[in-house]
Amino acid sequence: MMAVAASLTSEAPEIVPGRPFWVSVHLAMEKGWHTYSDPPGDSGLPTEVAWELPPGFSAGKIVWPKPRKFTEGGITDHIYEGAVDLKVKITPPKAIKVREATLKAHVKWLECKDICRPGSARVSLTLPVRKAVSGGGT
Amino acid sequence: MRKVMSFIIVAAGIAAVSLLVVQAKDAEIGNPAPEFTLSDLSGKARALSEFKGKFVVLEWTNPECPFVKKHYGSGNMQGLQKAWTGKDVVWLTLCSSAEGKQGFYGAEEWKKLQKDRGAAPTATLLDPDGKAGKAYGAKTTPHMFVVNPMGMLIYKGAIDDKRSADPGDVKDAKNFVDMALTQSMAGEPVRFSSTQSYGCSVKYK
Repeated sequence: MMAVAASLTSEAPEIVPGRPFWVSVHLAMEKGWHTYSDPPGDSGLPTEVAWELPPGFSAGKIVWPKPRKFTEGGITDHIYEGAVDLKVKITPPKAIKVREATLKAHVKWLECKDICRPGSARVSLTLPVRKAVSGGGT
Repeated sequence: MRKVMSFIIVAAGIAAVSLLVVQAKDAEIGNPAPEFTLSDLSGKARALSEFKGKFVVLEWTNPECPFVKKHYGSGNMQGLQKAWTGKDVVWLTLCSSAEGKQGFYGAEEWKKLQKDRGAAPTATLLDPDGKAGKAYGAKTTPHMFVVNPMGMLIYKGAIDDKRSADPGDVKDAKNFVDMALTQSMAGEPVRFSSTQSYGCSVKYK
């Protein structure tokens, strides 16, 4: 039983070939539990996202929201509580032949309360691809 | 004149206080390693100074921490303990978990735990009030320190460069404790003498 639920959401309702868009790896944490930012501080481990993307797609680095500095026993950690959105910019290729594309990611995190344990989840998101407008510009 | 004298005394007092503050900071590389006296699992008091003349490795542990499990589950930590104690290095495993916190056990439970995980340190020392841990600035489990035969701290930080809880990462990792001991024994400077440790937080009280 994990204390964190991961999901993947997109700011764009559809994929426009060649136009970068933002997705969020959303982590919802049970009360009392936290995950870590990068750098994590004195202890802990940053959440990792390993992407499996369709051909030609690329993912940028995680944009880390400002974490809370939490100090206990002289140990300061950079943590997220409640929920956090880890934003990543996805760049699709200029030409996409398929009608929809599925973005997949393997998310790994360290969840801690008074104790720590590793957690992981596979998340995915399928978005429609906007058809190229025939005769359209560049 | 008396006024001047009292000013000097006050100034000296302030200087002494600030010196104390400086000493209360984490142990620094190239400085004498902080002395401690802690009970081992047979209840015997063991001091760091007892081992002067030998290299000493200090390993902070908490058996239930996933990062500690990474290095024991893969056999990495036990392997290091056996290899280095075989070369006359003293290996001290310390636990600073406070009573009631994760990783706190009595001496009898510790004996069984260490046997079950095949640990082979020179001694396991219990630091439930966290004094030794705080003197070294031990923040994570594991957190590693190396003291040279002159009693100077020559390494502090992570066990290796793969900051993860995945046992599969051990085989490709650069082990900083191995490097510090190997280089120092060869009369070379320790290339990475201070690294950022990684792991669970030490469960201080």
